[in-house]
Amino acid sequence: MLDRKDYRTLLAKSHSLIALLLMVLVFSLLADGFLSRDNFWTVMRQISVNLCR
Amino acid sequence: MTLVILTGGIDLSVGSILALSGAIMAGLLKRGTELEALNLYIGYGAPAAIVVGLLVGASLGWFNGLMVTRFRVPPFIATLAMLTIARGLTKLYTGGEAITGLGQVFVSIGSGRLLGIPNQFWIAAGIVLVAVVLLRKTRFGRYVYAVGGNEEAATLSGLNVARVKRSVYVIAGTLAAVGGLIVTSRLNSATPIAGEGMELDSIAAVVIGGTSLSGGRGSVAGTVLGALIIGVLNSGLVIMGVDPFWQQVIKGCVILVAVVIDRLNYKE
Repeated sequence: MLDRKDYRTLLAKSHSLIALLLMVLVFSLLADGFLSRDNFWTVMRQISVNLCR
Repeated sequence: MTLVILTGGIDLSVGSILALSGAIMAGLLKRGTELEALNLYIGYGAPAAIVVGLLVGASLGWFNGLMVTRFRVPPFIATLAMLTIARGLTKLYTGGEAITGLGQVFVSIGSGRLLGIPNQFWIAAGIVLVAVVLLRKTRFGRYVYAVGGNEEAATLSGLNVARVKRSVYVIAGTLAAVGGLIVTSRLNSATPIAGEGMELDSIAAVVIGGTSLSGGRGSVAGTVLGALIIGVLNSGLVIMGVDPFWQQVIKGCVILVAVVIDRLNYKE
């Protein structure tokens, strides 16, 4: 069983992942076409170049 | 960039190295090399042009490393100088104009697909995999963390700190050239302004991913997450039709919030 401190540690370690999921959720609700297959590959292409630097 | 920042350094020149390497690959493919004194013309196929471009990236990275280790120039200044030098060289080499029409073989690298997935995604995935193994499973990876964590302790324990630092700058330069290959082949064109401002996205991805700018703490997985955040943010804001000026403001705020959260977590 996780205690409060464990939860805080878990939260601290995964704040980037939580932020990403929140952003995906918000943009999915607000932007038409955000969750499309084409946009998924557009983002993947963009981060491919970013990860090479 | 993650490796460089893990050692406590920074590389501002990646965008310019990307542009220069891409321009050289495109120039060699399109125009080859003419040695007027010998009345000699050398033509290049895609593999040869790519190898030369990658070597240019590695050499500029090595030069950055040399400035930082041998001449003790702060990484920020050394790579800022390289940012300007490589950008100037790109404009000189291209004559300020785009080099286009690079041939099907070269173009297929950036715009082709394997198993329905864009080639550039496979290239990036391969690089991420190698970087993870390098950092987690090899002695060199432990050295990188050691140098960034406490350079003095690393030196006193017999580590060749200068060699580790030079190596990470060479890796950063080479990977920037790989970025140049991807961008140039995808666009079927090398432009003198390619990669301008890209170094900031790259640093932002590393920082948002939780890598400490003072070195010694961070991971490649974090950088992948950071790059995803930047990518999703860019894409979402564009689709929503947010004013480009506001997009910059929002991106800056996200970076700031990420760093503040990271600092608070680290203190705890």
